[in-house]
Amino acid sequence: MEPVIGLEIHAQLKTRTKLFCSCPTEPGAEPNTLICEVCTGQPGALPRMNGRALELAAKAGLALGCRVNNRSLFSRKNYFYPDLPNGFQTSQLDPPICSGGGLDIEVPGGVKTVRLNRIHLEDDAGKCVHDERRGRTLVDLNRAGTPLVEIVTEPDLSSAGEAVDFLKKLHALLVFLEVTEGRLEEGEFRCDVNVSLKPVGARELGVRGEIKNLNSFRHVGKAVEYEVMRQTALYEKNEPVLQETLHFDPVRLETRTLRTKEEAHDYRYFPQPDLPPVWVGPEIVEAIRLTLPGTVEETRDRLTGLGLRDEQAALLLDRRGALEYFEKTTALFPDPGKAASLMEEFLLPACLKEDLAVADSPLAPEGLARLGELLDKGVLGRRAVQEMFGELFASGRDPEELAREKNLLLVTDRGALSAMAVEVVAAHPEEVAKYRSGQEKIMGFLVGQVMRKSRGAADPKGVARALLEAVGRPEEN
Amino acid sequence: MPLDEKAVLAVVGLARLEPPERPESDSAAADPVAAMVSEFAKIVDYMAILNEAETEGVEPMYSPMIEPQPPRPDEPRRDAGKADDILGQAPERVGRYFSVPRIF
Amino acid sequence: MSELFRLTLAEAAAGLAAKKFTSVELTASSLARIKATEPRVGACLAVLEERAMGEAAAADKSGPDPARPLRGLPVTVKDVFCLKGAPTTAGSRILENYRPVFEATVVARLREAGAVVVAKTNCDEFAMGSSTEFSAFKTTRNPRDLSRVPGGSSGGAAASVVSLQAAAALGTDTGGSIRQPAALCGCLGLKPTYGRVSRYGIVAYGSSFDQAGPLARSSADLGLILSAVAGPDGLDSTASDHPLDDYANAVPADLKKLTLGLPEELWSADFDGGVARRLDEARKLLTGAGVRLRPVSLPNLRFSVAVYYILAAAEASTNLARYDGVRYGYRAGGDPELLSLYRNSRTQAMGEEVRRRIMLGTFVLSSGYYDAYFRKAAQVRRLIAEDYRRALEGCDFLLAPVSSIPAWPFGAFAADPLTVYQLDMMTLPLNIVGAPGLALPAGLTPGGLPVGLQLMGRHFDELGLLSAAGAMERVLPSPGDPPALG
Repeated sequence: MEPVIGLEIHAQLKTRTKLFCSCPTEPGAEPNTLICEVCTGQPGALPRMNGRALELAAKAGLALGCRVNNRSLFSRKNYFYPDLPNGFQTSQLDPPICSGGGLDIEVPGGVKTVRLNRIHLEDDAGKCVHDERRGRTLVDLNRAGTPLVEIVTEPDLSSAGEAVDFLKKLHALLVFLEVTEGRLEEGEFRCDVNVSLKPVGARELGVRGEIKNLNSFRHVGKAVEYEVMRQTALYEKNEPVLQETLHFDPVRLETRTLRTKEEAHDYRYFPQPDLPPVWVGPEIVEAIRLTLPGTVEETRDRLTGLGLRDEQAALLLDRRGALEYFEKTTALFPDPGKAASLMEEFLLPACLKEDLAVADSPLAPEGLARLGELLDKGVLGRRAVQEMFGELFASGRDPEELAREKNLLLVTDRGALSAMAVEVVAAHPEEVAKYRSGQEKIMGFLVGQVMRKSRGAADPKGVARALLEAVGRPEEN
Repeated sequence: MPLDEKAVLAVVGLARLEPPERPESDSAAADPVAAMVSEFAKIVDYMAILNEAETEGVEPMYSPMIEPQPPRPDEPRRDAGKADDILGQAPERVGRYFSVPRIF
Repeated sequence: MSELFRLTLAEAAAGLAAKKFTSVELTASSLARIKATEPRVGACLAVLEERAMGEAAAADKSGPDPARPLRGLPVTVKDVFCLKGAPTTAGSRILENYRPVFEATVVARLREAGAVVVAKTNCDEFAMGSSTEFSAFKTTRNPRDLSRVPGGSSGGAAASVVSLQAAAALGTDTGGSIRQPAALCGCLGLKPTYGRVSRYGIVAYGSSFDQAGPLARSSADLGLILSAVAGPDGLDSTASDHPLDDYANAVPADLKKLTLGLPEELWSADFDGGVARRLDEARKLLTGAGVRLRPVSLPNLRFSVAVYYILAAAEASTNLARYDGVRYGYRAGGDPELLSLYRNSRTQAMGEEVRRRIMLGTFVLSSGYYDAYFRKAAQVRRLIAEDYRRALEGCDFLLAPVSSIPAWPFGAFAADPLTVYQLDMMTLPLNIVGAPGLALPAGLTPGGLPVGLQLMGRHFDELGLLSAAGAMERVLPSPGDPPALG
């Protein structure tokens, strides 16, 4: 027997507002503060489509090789639950926003294309919290109405490892495309897994178990492994596999029955009469296609082509928001290598240390670009950057202003430097004579003297230049 | 085949309604459940008139309004007063939560 | 001056503009009339005396404003419209203490145009019914015969207009709920094209059928209200941006140039004798005035009751799923577990007819029945729409009766829901196809009960309907004022 695995992935779209109303989508707000008549199902309220959500769903579809359907339709999926204010979810049945498509994963000995069935838009439910002490279930509707895409694969995966590889690759792509923030811990990227077994080489699929709502790659791997084992054991005992909805217990690492086929919901899908067909015309599809940044591979090549080291490119691609920060920085400070170094050495570690998303860095790309310029001009030394970066990052202030305040700016003024150089030359005639006779190493000593005179605030490059002028080039002597 | 009691009670359950209460006595004539079932079956029966309509190849019409409308811009609006008014209608709440009997 | 409540909306507007009286006087007159007639008629669920008088005073203070053509004019709105700060129950126990947190777009537009809402009117629970007998709260009586129903579901709206409580009322029409009570009480009612008027803030019944519109005692008044409320709405994706017309200034049509199609299937119904006689006379009067009448056919019309009840019930079954006792409205006592909380709350606080339609809608959408009922009905809906389009070829409008029987005594059909559904046959086709229609009085039966006719138009031709009605109301007999009610 061999496993046959299909996935249904739910990704929360990176929009500012909900799918059908203008309430903000932000995690962590006080319960029931981000609600209005639409997302709480008040009598008479009607949905109004979020254009950005449409664009993002189409963008994901285009990047995954799907066909974007110009006309798609919303349906009501009816069931009762306290976190579902209308008594129905608004989802897409037929036609969805995107059809077909696929994503390649690497498998031993080559590449496997995992085909997609569809991508559709739908709204999320609210959240239930269980209050053990009171014996109540508490409902927060802040999340109700948040836009999701559901990405449905064909049953093309054949192992836990493949399922995890596919999910990781899909996750990286959607995060890279900025279709989703993809925070697994917030449930922004979660999936249902369908597992069945069939005799090797057979066409007919076996009866499947559907494991609901997994939000960690590890759990997906473990859940599939367990489910394959469980179903194999049933086949070996000649017992039937039942069509069931399952829950994965992450502590005991096993699946448990949630609903049997008989208990399955009758969702009574029908076209949502409050929403006319959604139109995404060919010209809109083309406009969205133009915003695609290229694949991850293409972007990596582009970055290394700009002179970034492989590790730097990887860092920018892996850290959420890093690439965007980099692009904004280099737009102002067009030295990609230096900008990447500054991010690698200073900015990204600081974000990590403060547990901040790159996008939430108090030091804006404008500030980092300015820092790069100051370093380039020699107004600021690397050591000074090291000394001040913590404060610079936390305050987000103008780097030059902060450096001046902390007395870290280098003296670059030609007149001042050359005056100091002349003084040092006059005070050390012997060393100057040695230098002139060809002992060039003595220059280091002279530079040190000037630096000392400036109490370390002189730009070393400028000092060397001023000394050369003051002593004259040796061969000229 | 007319709908039987089991089928009608399944619809009642799916709609999250209660069937009428059956009186203690077992007089079938006064059974309100049977009355409901037969009345409902009669209505459903009437709807079968549609079988007489020739609809081969006819595209269903779900709404008279099928002009796509421009979508809404993705601009957040927050109304704290409204959120409080909504919460204020709750039959039961705990803090800022709506509250219901515990579910599993 | 003492009986300002007798004025039509247009007359009252002219009087206010000419400073013959103030809005405070007009509104007080309307409120006094409500007080005098309510014990017998029972049209209103809530009388908003204090706020109405406040708004009237403000209207007097602000003075004439061309942007506010309804300034200071009292109107009533059906209790399915969300009005902020006032109860909105839709005639249901489950919303008994509900206070909307936002305002229906049409109500907001009426008020922006200056109208003063004096009362919220009674209706069948969730607008499901044809007699207003299914209101959970009170009985509304037909002002022309207090032993009879006013029709429904906008029965309170029609009764408020005919008993002169207000010159105009806002109602909703899902399967005839404006036109039928207007006909049974003896006033005019306009159901606009689906999408002409925003549905935002109207407690939903059948989402692809529901449409708000005015009831009044003249076609000019219908136009005044429609022009204030019509048009696209950023909050309702099904509100159309089709160009608007100047409904407030519809010019009466030349009857000699009018061709009306008479749908054979509607005119051959089994009419009450008094109604039949009135309808015959009305046709003669119209022909005499130069109107050309020609028979047309709507061959699939016999399916309209099934199509309507399947599709509207399906939509209703899920529109009403939100009434679950969790976030607002009635919750059953005894703190049962969640499933029972749902089932008890919904069963205890929703009436039998509402539950019946929820069951029907749940059934036709359920697994194994969807194709045979829901999808099939949607297909036949298209057949009826095509019939309708074809019937209008060569006609300006269709003309049909509104009801085969006059207002009936309370309880006459209590035991027989299917028969009542079938009574809706004349009004349903317009909602099925989404076209506009206008009901207007055609006189009284020998027993003194109003008989109504309806004009049916092409989509978005409300102006045409108003023009035709403006000419026809001069030819057809007026039902006059009801007997003394005060």
